[in-house]
Formats: sequence, C-alpha cells, structure tokens
Amino acid sequence: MAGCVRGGAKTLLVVFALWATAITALGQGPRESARANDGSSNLPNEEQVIYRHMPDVSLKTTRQGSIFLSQLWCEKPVLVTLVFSRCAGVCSPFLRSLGEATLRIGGAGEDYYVVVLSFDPEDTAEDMQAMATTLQLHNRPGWIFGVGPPEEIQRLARASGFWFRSVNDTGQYDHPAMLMGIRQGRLVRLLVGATVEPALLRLVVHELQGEMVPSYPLPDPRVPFRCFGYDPATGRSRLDWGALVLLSPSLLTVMTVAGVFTMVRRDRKERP
Amino acid sequence: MLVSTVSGIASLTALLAAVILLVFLGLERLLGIPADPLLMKNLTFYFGHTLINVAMYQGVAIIYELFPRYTGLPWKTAKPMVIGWNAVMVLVMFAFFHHLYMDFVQPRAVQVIGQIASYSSALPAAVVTILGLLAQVYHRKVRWTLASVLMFAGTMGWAIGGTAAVIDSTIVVNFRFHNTQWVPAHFHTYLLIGLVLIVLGFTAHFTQEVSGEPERSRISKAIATLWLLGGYGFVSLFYIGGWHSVPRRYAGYPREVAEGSLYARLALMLVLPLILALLIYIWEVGKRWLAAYAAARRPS
Repeated sequence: MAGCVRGGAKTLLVVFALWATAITALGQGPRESARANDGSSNLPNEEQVIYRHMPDVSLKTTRQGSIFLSQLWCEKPVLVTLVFSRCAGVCSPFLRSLGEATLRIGGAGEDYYVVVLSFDPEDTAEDMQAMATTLQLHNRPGWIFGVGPPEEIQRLARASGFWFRSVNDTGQYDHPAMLMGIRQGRLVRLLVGATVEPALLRLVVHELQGEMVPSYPLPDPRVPFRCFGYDPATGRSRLDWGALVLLSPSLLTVMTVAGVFTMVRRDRKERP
Repeated sequence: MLVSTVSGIASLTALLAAVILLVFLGLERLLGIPADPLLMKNLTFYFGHTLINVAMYQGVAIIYELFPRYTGLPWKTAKPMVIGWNAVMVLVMFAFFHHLYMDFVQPRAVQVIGQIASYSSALPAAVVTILGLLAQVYHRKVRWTLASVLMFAGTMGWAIGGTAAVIDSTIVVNFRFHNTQWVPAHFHTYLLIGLVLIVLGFTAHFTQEVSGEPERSRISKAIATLWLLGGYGFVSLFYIGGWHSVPRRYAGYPREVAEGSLYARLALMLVLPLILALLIYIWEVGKRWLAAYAAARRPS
C-alpha cells in the first residue's frame, strides 16, 4: 500500500512538472516572439524614467541669450523636446504637430514653456532659430529654441531614455520623436510619437500643474468577463458578466451554507 | 466553535475567489484570453482581505476558549454574539472593496458599499470581543501569566490596529492616506502586537499546561515589556510617517518627505527589543516544550 502511495506521488510529481514546464513554455513563447517582432522596444519607455531628476543644461538661444534649463523649470513647468535642424524626417512634422497642439490647448508662455533643443553638436543657436522661423514657431510666446553643450545634452538624453545615432554618410540621425514634461526638474510625463494629440497634451499640462490625472487601460474587446461596462457617451457604468463572477464566491458560499444547515435541520427532525 | 465555523465559511469563499483568479490567470497564460484587470484586482483583494480577517478571527477564537481559564468567568455564547459573528461572516465578503478606492473606474456605489461593510464588519467583532474581554478582567482577580498577558495585549493590539484600519477604510481619509506608511502601520499593529501576541500567548499556555513547569515571573514580565515597548514603538513610527505623508514601498525618499529615513532608522532601533523579547520567549517556551516532549516520551 505504502509503495502504491509512493508510486502515485511520483506520478503526480511528474505530471505537475510536465504541467509547469508546459505553462512556462506556452506562456513565454508567444510573448518572447512578440517582443522580438515589435519594433517599439527601441522607443523610450516612460515607466523606466518617470519622476527622475533631469540634469541641468546651459542653453544658448538667439532671443533669450544664455540661460539654464533649471531657471525655466523653477519658474514654471517645461515641455522639452530634442530635435536637429537638418532633419529630413520626423523633427519638422513633430514640431508642427506640437505647435498645433499647444495652440489648441493654449497656455504656452503663461502656464508652461516649450523648449526645443538640438542634440546635433553641429547645430548653432542661429540654425535653431532658422528652424523656428521656417516652422512659423518663432513668434510663439513661451517657445524657446536653442542648443547646449553636447555632453550636457547627452546627459539629458540618457536620463530621459532618448537616443540618437548618426546614419552613415547622410548627415542624418536616427532618433525617436519625444516630448518630456518636466516640473521642478523632475520628469513627470513622456510622450513618444510623431504626432502630439491635443487631448493628451492637455492631460500632460494638467499633470505638470500638479493636478490629478486619472488613467486606466481601455477595456480590451477580447476580455470575456469585465466587472463593469462603461459607456463613454453617458459616462455611466453598468454591471457586466465579470461582476457575477466576482459575486460567485459569496453566492456559492451562501448557497452551500444554506444547504448544509437545511440538511442538518432535516436530519434532526427525522431523528426519533 | 462559532468563530471557527464562521472562519471556515469565510475561508471557503476566499478559496473560491483564489481558484477563479487562478483560472483566469491560466486562461491568459495558456490560451491568450486576456483577463479584466479590475476583476483580477477585485478577486485578489477578495482573497487576501478575507484571509487576513479569518486569521484574526482564529486568534479571537483562542481568546474565547482560553482566556476564561485565567479569570474563572465562562465566556458564554449568547445571542448577541451569535448574531454579531453571523453578521461579520456576511459583511467581511464585501469589505475588501475598500482596497480599491483609488480605482476610479469602480463605480461609486461599490466604493460606498466597501466603506459601509468595513465599518459594519468591524463593529460586531470589536464590540463582542473587546467589551467581552474587558468584562472578563474588570473587577476580577485575573491570573496574570505570560500566556494571559500576551493574549490580553494581543486583543488590545488588534483593537488599535483595527481602529486604524477602519479609519483608513473611510473614503475621504483613504484619499490622503493611501500608499502612505499609515497602511503598514495598521497591519503591523494588528499582526505584530495583535495576532502574533495571541498566538505566542496560546503557545505559552499550551506548553505550560502540557509540561506542568512553573512560570518564572520576572522572565515573563521581561518578555511582555520588551515586546510591547519594541512593538508599539516600531508601529508608532509608521503612524507618524503616515501622518506626515511618507509613502510606503520607496527605496529612497524624495526631498519633500526625507524625514521618512529618520523614522525608518528609529523604527529599526526599536526592532531590537522585539528581537530580544522573541529570543527570550523562544528560550523560555522552548525549554517547556522540550520538557513536555520528554515527559510525553517517558514510559508511563
């Protein structure tokens, strides 16, 4: 009998080990391959840099002269972006998009500064000013275009997760489009992508002003059981099937207990 | 018996919640069917909150069973007690919603249910147990031993930690206290100077009863004094940290709450008497345990 139990235990152990291996293999396989195919892994990740203290940069601008980035963020929140003036790719469309978005939400110069810095060591303050003029951003209140010492820019880039690399013989750089939201020297938000959505930028500005900005992942349509359904039109929540799942332990327990008590009572009555 | 039954039923419901949680995790991992984060969070706290309450209730069961032996006054299972504990059994299943106050996607009605259930579930257990225990010692000649002192102090620690928990389960307070050191303050109180003391008291009682060895009063007083001094000092610094908005789970504190490091250092110093009390306790009760073991092995 003891041998039988020992044999059974061994079989159980083997089954458990196989099950655990299968779970690990099945669970990790698709995720790993998804990661490998996903180009987004190179993009700066807000989660890794959020609330970091940003290093100070001494800026050279044509309009404000020499100033420190810290002077600006001590005064009011700062939106900082890193571009280069000869960019044939994302920089100009990104700045246009940022310009549009700031116009839509307002407050630039009053509630926050927008600082556009070059990460290209060959750029001068005049190049950046020319870029601002071309994009018709030179007269915008609160917008500052400038350059900084390459090592300081490099430190800022590293601290915020931004990267750039020279593309051979083209004079161009490979880099992401990114906007940092800095409050009192601390990175509060990071927007990554060529287009700046005004609604998203408004939330960033609210957060920079110290307001609570709630966020939550949008419901995935593939989720079979959700606790609550949300109607964006009315802003109301309604119970979904997941709520029944959540209540099921309580309901099952109450039913089990009621069943046991009924059986005990019946048993007592039937006893002579 | 009553409390054990209530605890058993509550454990069953927590177990069911855990099983459902694991099924959803398995479906997501094996078949790629995503689970609703809010549902998973609800189920996690359903399981965890209920389980920690059950642990406390088992401690209370020890008090009901053993403490009357030190006062000579039986603890009767009266009707209010039965009603109170049955109410606890139902209410504890809905109190866990107070862990999700920060989840603004949870409808407000559910949050309100969480607050009401938290307040209501605390009342019957607290009123029945704490008033009952105070009635046991009030104007009575109590046989104060290491076991009875630890059990009494443990129940009071549970009451203090429970009160701090109820304060934190108030929506307007939680909005400020959430993720501050107030949270570890309350659960360290009802565990470190609550449930743990009751369990240590039970072990001391059991070993003494089985071994029949006399108790050394000075050692017992030293254990209780060191534990209470260290324990209350330790949790007080958590409360002070919470009061000053020092966040929990931070490896380094930002400038605004840098005093958190000082509180942590002071708390660490107060852990020393606690450890000393634990070592003396293990030595003292361990000796009795060995004596009881030797007595049990001796041929009759």
